[in-house]
Amino acid sequence: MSENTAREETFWKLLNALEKANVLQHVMIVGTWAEWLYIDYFASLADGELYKVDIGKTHDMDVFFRNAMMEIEGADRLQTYLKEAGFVPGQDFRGTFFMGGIEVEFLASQLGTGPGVVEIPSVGIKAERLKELDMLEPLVVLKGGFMITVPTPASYVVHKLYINPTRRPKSKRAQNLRKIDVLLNAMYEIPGQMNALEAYLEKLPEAKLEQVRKVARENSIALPGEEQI
Amino acid sequence: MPKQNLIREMLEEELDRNARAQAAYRAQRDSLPRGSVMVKTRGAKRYCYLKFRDGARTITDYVGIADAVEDGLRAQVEQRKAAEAAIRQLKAEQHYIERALKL
Repeated sequence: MSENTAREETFWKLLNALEKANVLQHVMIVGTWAEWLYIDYFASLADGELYKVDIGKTHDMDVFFRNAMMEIEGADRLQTYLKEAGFVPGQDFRGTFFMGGIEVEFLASQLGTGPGVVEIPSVGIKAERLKELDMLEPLVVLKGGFMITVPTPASYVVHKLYINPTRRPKSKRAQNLRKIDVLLNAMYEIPGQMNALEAYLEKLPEAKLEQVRKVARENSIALPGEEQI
Repeated sequence: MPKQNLIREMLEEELDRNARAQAAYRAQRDSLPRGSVMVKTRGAKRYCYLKFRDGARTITDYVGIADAVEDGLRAQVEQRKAAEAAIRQLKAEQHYIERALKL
């Protein structure tokens, strides 16, 4: 089995556990795996494949609980299902799970709170609170028989640009910008995506919009409504 | 940030993740029975034992009536072997990252 196939298999095992525990519809897959899911989504909107993502180097799977405090019936079985699928609980303060070298990390919004770790009551798993995750708007895609929520590409791009100056570790900043540039280039070719991006940018508060445009300008990333230098 | 520092930071991050993964698999391994499963038949009954090495000694521990415990015990022993294999793989990756960091 190739390394990428093994990674994909791990991803499906994760989704299966989330679905069995009735949690999948309440979480959003973010990060590289969301980008990977855009491949088929974009292909369904355009003629042919305009976008590629290499999952060969990714070692994490990020699951964002959109409403950390929501009661979800059956969700208390999630840890059991993850373990049954072969995921091993991490030993540090964060509620991560491992399968081989792949780390599953649960995330929650920092809205109204500070950074740190919060326990998601419905699943009894700890999640890391990250800034600005609420900027991500949901999009449901269908793959592998699962209805999977990912961020809309527009909100994903803008969120990545916005958090870039404070992204930790720093080594991820340049890497994220490269990925966003590739994603944006594909979005320019896909009907509706630029309109969605423009509409999303228009909704942003002035200060956020300025920050997003500044990061884009400084890194020669072309956003709609901005002349490229 | 200079390119070399970026690469170093990425490798260090991988090393951290590797250490967290090893800790997770060690904890799992240590919570599972070691050795191999042995079943002895006496009369009409089958009894399940766990046989393992402790230094130079070989120890055979009685676990229970085979019908009640054998399947679960075998599954746990297999899980432990899988955890040990994962640790070996992660150690190999750790050495690879450490070598790269020394360059």
